[in-house]
Amino acid sequence: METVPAASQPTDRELVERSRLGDRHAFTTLVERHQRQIYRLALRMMGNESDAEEILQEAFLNAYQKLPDFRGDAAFSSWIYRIAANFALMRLRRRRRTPELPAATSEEAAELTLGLRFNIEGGYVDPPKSDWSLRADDALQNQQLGRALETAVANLPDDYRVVFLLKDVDGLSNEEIGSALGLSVPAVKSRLHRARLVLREKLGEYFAA
Amino acid sequence: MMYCQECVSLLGDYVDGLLSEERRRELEDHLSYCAPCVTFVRTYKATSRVARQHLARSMPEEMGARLHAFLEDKISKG
Repeated sequence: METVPAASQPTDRELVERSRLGDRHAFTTLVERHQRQIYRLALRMMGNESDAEEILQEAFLNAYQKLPDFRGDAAFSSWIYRIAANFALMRLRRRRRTPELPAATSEEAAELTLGLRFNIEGGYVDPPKSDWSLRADDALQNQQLGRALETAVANLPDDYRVVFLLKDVDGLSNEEIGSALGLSVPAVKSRLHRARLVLREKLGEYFAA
Repeated sequence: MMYCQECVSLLGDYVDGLLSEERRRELEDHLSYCAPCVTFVRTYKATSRVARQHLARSMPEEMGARLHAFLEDKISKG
């Protein structure tokens, strides 16, 4: 996600150059420009505010320390995204080793029951009948719906949940998500689609209840 | 002629505006006579819409101040 500064503001590239020369104020400006996006990325990956804050701090400190290695031809935003994503992935891997917090894997995700079956001719076995889309719009302020959705999102496998939140809630492009998470664009699209299908199914169950 | 299964498999690219013109026309042609798929598309789109409304989060302001203090401390210590 490239941040476009106002006309009178220095570009990220200029701020990086000044930071490399020891201008701490320039680095502070870079941090202030990108901290909200990095926070959202970390929050989506870790699932809680406390871990997200630590990732945020580690990522910007690491970026400062590695500024001499930063290649000016890359966007600073992509670079800091990647740093933050790597810290988050390392932390998630460590967490997965603990038995009390098992995380679903992509293989398990492939087994997700989508409630969708098609006959040999490519038609629905059980065609969708209830169009709850307008009721969903009417219920936007409904806290019960919000809780049902949060539960459904929390039950998605980690790597599906992150892609869904970054794309549909935070508005990143497939390319930005792929770059941050080290995924190909087709992999991002596949996870996003499956996550949407699962959540659509869960919301359907909520409105049918 | 497109079938429902193919229509569903293309929905991600369709709602994100990433389908080729030809595929988009094929899909919309299918939607013109398939009521179940119209329902499917509407609820698929609504899923993203509802999520955006309910799950958007902003960085707490005090977290920005703590980040600033953390970096100042670490960087000044070298």
